[in-house]
Parts: sequence; C-alpha cells; structure tokens
Amino acid sequence: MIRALIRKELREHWVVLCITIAIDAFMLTGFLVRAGERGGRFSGLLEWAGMLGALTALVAANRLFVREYAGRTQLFLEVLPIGRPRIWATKWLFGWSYMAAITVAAWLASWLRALRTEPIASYDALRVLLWVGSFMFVVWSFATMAGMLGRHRYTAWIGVVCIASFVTYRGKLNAAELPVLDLLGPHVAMAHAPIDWSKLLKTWALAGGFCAASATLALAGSGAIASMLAQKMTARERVFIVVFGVVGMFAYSTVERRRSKPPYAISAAVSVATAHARVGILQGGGITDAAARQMARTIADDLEQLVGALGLDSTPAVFVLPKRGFDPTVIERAELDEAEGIVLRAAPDVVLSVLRTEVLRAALADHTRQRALREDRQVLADGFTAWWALRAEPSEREERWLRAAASSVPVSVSTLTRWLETQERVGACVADALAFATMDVLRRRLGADASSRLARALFPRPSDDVRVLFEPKPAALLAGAGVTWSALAAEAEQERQLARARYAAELARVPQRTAAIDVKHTPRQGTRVEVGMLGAPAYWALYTVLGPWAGVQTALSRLDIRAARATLPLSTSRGARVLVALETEDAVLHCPLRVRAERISLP
Amino acid sequence: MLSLASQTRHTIAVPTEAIRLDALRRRYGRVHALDGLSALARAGEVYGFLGRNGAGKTTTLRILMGIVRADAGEIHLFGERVKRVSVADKRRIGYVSQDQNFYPWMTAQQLGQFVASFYPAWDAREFERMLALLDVPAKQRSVELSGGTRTKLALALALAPRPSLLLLDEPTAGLDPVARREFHELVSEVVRERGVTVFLSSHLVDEVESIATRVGIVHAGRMRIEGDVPWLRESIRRVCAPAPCALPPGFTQVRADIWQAVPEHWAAAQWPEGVTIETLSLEEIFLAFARSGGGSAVVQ
Repeated sequence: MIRALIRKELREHWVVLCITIAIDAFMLTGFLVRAGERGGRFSGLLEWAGMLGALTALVAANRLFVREYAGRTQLFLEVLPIGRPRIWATKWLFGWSYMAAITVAAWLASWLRALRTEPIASYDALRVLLWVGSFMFVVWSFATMAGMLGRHRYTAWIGVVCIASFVTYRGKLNAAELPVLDLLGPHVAMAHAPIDWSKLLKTWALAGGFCAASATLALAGSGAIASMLAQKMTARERVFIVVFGVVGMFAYSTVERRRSKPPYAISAAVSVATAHARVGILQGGGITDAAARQMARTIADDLEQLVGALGLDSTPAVFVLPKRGFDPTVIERAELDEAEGIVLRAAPDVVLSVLRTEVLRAALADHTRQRALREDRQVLADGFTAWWALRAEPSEREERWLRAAASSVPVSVSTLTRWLETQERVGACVADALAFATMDVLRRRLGADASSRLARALFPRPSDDVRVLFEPKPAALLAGAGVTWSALAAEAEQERQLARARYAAELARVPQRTAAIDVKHTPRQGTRVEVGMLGAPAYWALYTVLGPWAGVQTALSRLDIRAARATLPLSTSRGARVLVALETEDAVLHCPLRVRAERISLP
Repeated sequence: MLSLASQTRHTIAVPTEAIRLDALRRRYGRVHALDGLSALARAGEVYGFLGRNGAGKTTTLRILMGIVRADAGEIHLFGERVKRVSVADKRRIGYVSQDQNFYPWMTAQQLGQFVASFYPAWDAREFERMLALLDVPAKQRSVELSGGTRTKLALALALAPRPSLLLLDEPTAGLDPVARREFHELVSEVVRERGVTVFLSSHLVDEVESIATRVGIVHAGRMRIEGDVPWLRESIRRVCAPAPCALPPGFTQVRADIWQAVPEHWAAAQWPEGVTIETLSLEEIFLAFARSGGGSAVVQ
C-alpha cells in the first residue's frame, strides 16, 4: 500500500521535484564558488540551506499536501482501504526523505569541494551535517504544518518572517542569532561547531511540535479541518487579511517609537549653550579660543532663533571639528549611529557663512527626518537655511545675489522643482545662491509672518508612522500662502535679471572659460575620459561612475589639474555611465564655479 | 414489523444483515447531519436510501466508508458491530461517490493499477471486462473523460475487488437517461450474479423504485420509514373522506389525507360511506414523509 502511494507521488510530482533539485544544484554551485572566493569551509552549504531550504520545503509541501487537498483527490484516497494517518505519515516521510537526500547531497558536494583546498575530518564534516540536517528538519516540519493550513499557508510563512523581523528589530539581534537560524552560524560554516545537545534537542522539539500540529490538522475532525482549509480563500477572508496587515502595520508604526539616542558630546570643545542649542568647536588647526567661542556663539544664535521661527523643541548638539587640508567651502558631516547630534568637519579657515548654512541645513534635515531634503522641496530648504544664515549679513547677501546673477541657468519652475539636476548643472556655490535668491524673493513677497508660517508648514516634524504619507505637497502649501511655483520662479528670475544689470561690471570681470569633456577610445589604451579647460590656470574635475539608480548626490572623486588637458583616472567597463564636472575657483564670485557638467556613457 | 415511539430500535440480530445502523449521530458545528438515524439493509438486497438534499444520506455513507466518524450510535457490518470501519472492512466495500475525485493525470488503466495495490482480492480481469462493458477508454486520462464515463469508471473500480457491499452515493446524478439505465442494469446484474448488497443513496424516486427491494426514507437526519417496497405501498395509503372521520385503532396519520397502518389493519378496517382508499406510488410516499416533520419512525 505504502509503496503504491510512494509510486503515485513520484509519478505525480517527479517533474517538479527534479526541477527543484536542478535549481538547488545550480544555486549550490554558485554558493560554493562564491564561498571558495571568500574562504569558508561550509559557508556555501549554509547559504544554500538558509535560502533554498525553505523554498524547497515549501515546494515539496505544496506538491505533497496542498495539491492533494486543494484538488480534493484526498477524498479518493480516503475511500481506499488505507488509514488517514498512514497516508499522512507516508507523505510526510516521503517529503522528508526527499529533503534529507538533497541535504546530504549538498553537504557531500560541499565537503568534497572543501577537501580540495584543506583537509576536513569526517567527524567535523558529519557535525556540519547534523546541524544543517536539523535545520532542514525544522523547516520541513514547518512547511508541512503550513501546508495543512491550505489557503492560509502563505499567511503562515509571511507571519513567521514578520515575527522574525520584529524580534530582530526589537531585540537588536542579528537574524543569525534567532532560534533555528542559529543552527547555521559561523562556527558551523567553519566546521568548528561542537555538538550542542541542548540546542539540538530544542530544535528537534520544535520540529516535533510542528509535526504534531501538522498531524492534528490532517486527522482532526475526520480530516474535515484540512479539507475546509484547502478550499479557496473567500473574498471576505482576502479582505480581512489585507485589512489586518495594513492595520497591523499602521498600528505598529504608530505605537512604535524610535529609540532616543543619547546626545553627542565632546568635553574638550569650546562650548556655548543657549536655552535650546548647544554648540561646541574643537580647538586645533590654528583656531584660537576666542575665535572658537565667537564661532560657537554665532551658530548657537542662529539655532536659537531657528527654534523660535520654526517652533522647534530644541536642536541637537552641534560640534565642529577642524580638519586641515579641507577647502574653506567644504564641510563634511559625520555619521553618528549611537548618539544624537550634528558633527561637522571643516577647514580651520572655513567660510563662516557656509558653515552656518550647513549647520542650519543639518538641523532642519534632522528635525524633518530628512524630509526637507526631498527633491520637491529641497530648493526651499536650501534657500531657507542660506537666507537664515545671512539674514543679518548685507554684504554676504549681495554676494549671493551676484552669484545668482552669474548663473548660466535661469530660474524656472523646472529649475526649482528638479533641484538635484540644477545643482548638478551649476554646482553647489551657484545653486545655493539661486536657492537664497528664490527664498529672498519669497520672503519679500509674503512678509515675515507669512514666511514663518509657510516655513513651519513646509518643514514640520513629520509623523513617525504611515501618516507621513498623507502630508501636503509643497506646491499645495505654497498655494495656501498665495504663491505658485511658476509665479515664484518668474519673480525670482526677474529679480535675477535686475541683479545682472546691477552687477554688470562685476560679471564682466568673470573670465570666460570653456571646458571640454571627451571620451576617447584606442585599442592600445582602451576607453578614457579626457577633460580640459581654457581660461583657467588651475581647475579640478569632479567625477564618479554612476550606478543604475545613482542620483547626483553620489560622492564625487576630485582631480586637481594644472594643465590644459588631463585624463581622468577612471577604470570602468564598457557601457558605464560617468558623471564629470569641471570647476575652478572664481576670484569675482569668491567660490568654486562649475563651468561644465556632463553625464556620459562610455562606449 | 414494529412501530417505535422513540428513535431506539429493538431488533433481533439477523445473520443475513449487511448493514445495521443504530441511532447514529453526527454534527457539523451547529448542524445535526444525523440525528439518531437507524437503518437496516439485508445481505443481497438493493437498499434504496431516499432523502432530500441535506437529509444526511452522504454523511451516512461516509460514516459507512470510515471517512467520517459518527459522534454516537452503533454500526453493524455483516452482522458484526464495528467501532470504527477498519481497513479490512473497507476491503469488503465498494464505493461510488457523487463526485469522482480521481487523479486527473491518471488513465483508467493507471487508476486500476493504483487501486489494485490496496486490494488483495483485486480482479484485474474483471476490471478490464468492466471497462470494456461500460465502454470506458482505458488509456485516456480521467480528466478527459465525461462525467458519465467517470461514474462508470468509479463503478468498475468499486466492483473489481469483488466487494460484498456496494455503497452508491447518488451515482447517477450526472448521467443521461441511457447511461443511467445501463448503470442500473449493471448494478442489478451484479446483485443477481454475485449476491452483492447494494446501499443506494438517492433522491430520485424512480431510480430507487426501479432497482431497490427495500427502501428507507430519511429526513433531517432521521429515518422516517423503512421497509420493502410492496409493504410500504400496502401500509401507506390515501384516505379520501367527504367528511372528517375518526382515525381507526392502529392507524397513524402521516398527513391529513395519508394514513399509515399495517396491511392487516387496512384490510380489517370498517370505513364510513363515501370513503375511498387509494394506493400511493413510492414517489407520493416519499413526498409525504420528506415534507412532514416530527412523528415516529416506522420500520418493517
């Protein structure tokens, strides 16, 4: 009887089971090759078990259990003189034999491959088999239990994944530390894992639990439960599951609060604290105590007034670390994983207005959880911070207008709303000036109070959950203040033209420069990118190889050039996309001027 | 012949009985599929198990096949009480269900080979003969067969192990009249030649009437009346009276105009002037019992 049943299963499922074996073999080969490159005795096997084990079990359980019930052919089997428990047991053991055979074959292949490079004792290899086999045993047991849930099987799988993700996130765990997954740990990969009977017994007990649940589902109520679960999901159930999932995510994201990190602090820094801000400047690189204190005071005042203007509770602590060798306009922000704060590195002779703008920008970005830097509103964020930093600096404001007037790109709706593209074309210096000019126009048009209201609406503290998806668009907020993008762009461009007329003499002093970016290909030298600039004795090229989805904010490499032409030190493959920008220091504008920027595809 | 005031049956064990069910109960959630059902099918006879849809016929047959367990009650198969229908019992039973849930990829021949491995007494020749007789293509996949042909295949599979008992659960529901007639003829032949007991569940009265020797009418999970077909006709009749008349002793009223009593009482009864007594067809008897609720079971 059992033989007949096994023959039936083989005849029914051999194609799918063979395809699964082929996929397993193919993937295992890939994992083993990769493992060889990275060096790990059985890491390929463990990767295979972790990724393909569940998939193989899912497929096998679907074929052996789900298909029987969904096709109602179990009713035909039940009429035959064979008990229901025996049918279930035969299928279960058949499936497990299949899983075990694949596992043993994969283990053997991994072992033989590893033996090519290093000796591995049989005992060590067998211990690996024990760990991996136990993992596959649990996975198979779970797969059969989920399979008996019929139409809810995928819900069960997804549920397990969600629970595992939740536990790893909440418990700050690595996924490999979770029960069952910890069977595939690094010690096992290196065949060094001792036999931990306690862990193995727990694993087997878990597998036994799944197995018992599977049997209960198959046998309880004369098999009626499994038959009922195998029926197609009703529309009501589908709606319930979707709604439950959405509501669950919503509730979780609403209830779950982000972890509050401790504030960052450097005790050695010269610090200035106000009611809502704390700024520290680390001495060094020639910054005197008085200069550091003055700088800290200025930045703290900026932040203090920003708190009032935007209605913030407070701002994160700000620390500036002097870094020799940096350009005066270059500022880098450090990533803080475990602390709250803004830590910037800048040259000791950093341009203060640039530093103040950058601090405000970082504070705004943190306050809005980076939403202020979304492209549809970044021009307003950049403009707001630049304007705020220069609100009491008339000469610097005029200089920004001069830079804006020097822009080769006019202000238009697309210039403002496709801000990353504009930044790429004109460079950071002129882009900041254009943003400043736009904000200056906007504030003049709206007045101080309306401008503050708009700023609060544009840069609020966003909800820490899915409600953030329902926030109004900047265009709607501008319209609420009585401005449209087109009106703002037109007015800003009009003002810019007036500035061009006003600064005609200064602009005439800006040297005419022409830059070239050429791609050349020769059989000997291959493909290379050559750049050159006329009218500038020194200039630099900023460049990067773009990935398929890379935006313009990718970190750029810099090559300083003092020749008419230079070849970029790029090593790329054919078809790669490269962003190249050529800049030079402009003595009239007092900042780097981007002469040309281009995205090129290498042939 | 006895009439019971309760659902409890008091019968003497008869060695020739193939199926005896006593007060079977089975519930699906809140629904009582069987509510104390009793039945008796004698060996070698065709027992017509009549009832409306949802009366409990399929549940009864599934209990007899061991697919479903009864919550309460007793089952006697071939004169022996069985707590649970065993594999050995199932080997003596052939079963044709309403729906044929064959493996769609298997041909009739492959199905025969597969089923054969579960029955030591499988008669391969008989199976082939049946396929030929019933005009079932042996090498065509079951999914490609028509509903009627699938039913015939199910019958061939049920008869090939040479069962002592054949359970037919509304087998002809999807068959055309010709195929239905052929099916009945084959069942009658099997009964005649092999002495197989047939337990035929159906709601088609003419089908049951054409081949059954004994009939049980089940309603709402209870047996309403059970007996040989001629006895049923003699016991249940329509009384047409111009004016209301009193129920004679020994008579029970199934409906206002349909009375039930043993044939001797009908013969001995004195009827007032103008009263006419009409014999009923099995269909009329079925309708009378299937529509009326309550009342006690009547058993021959």
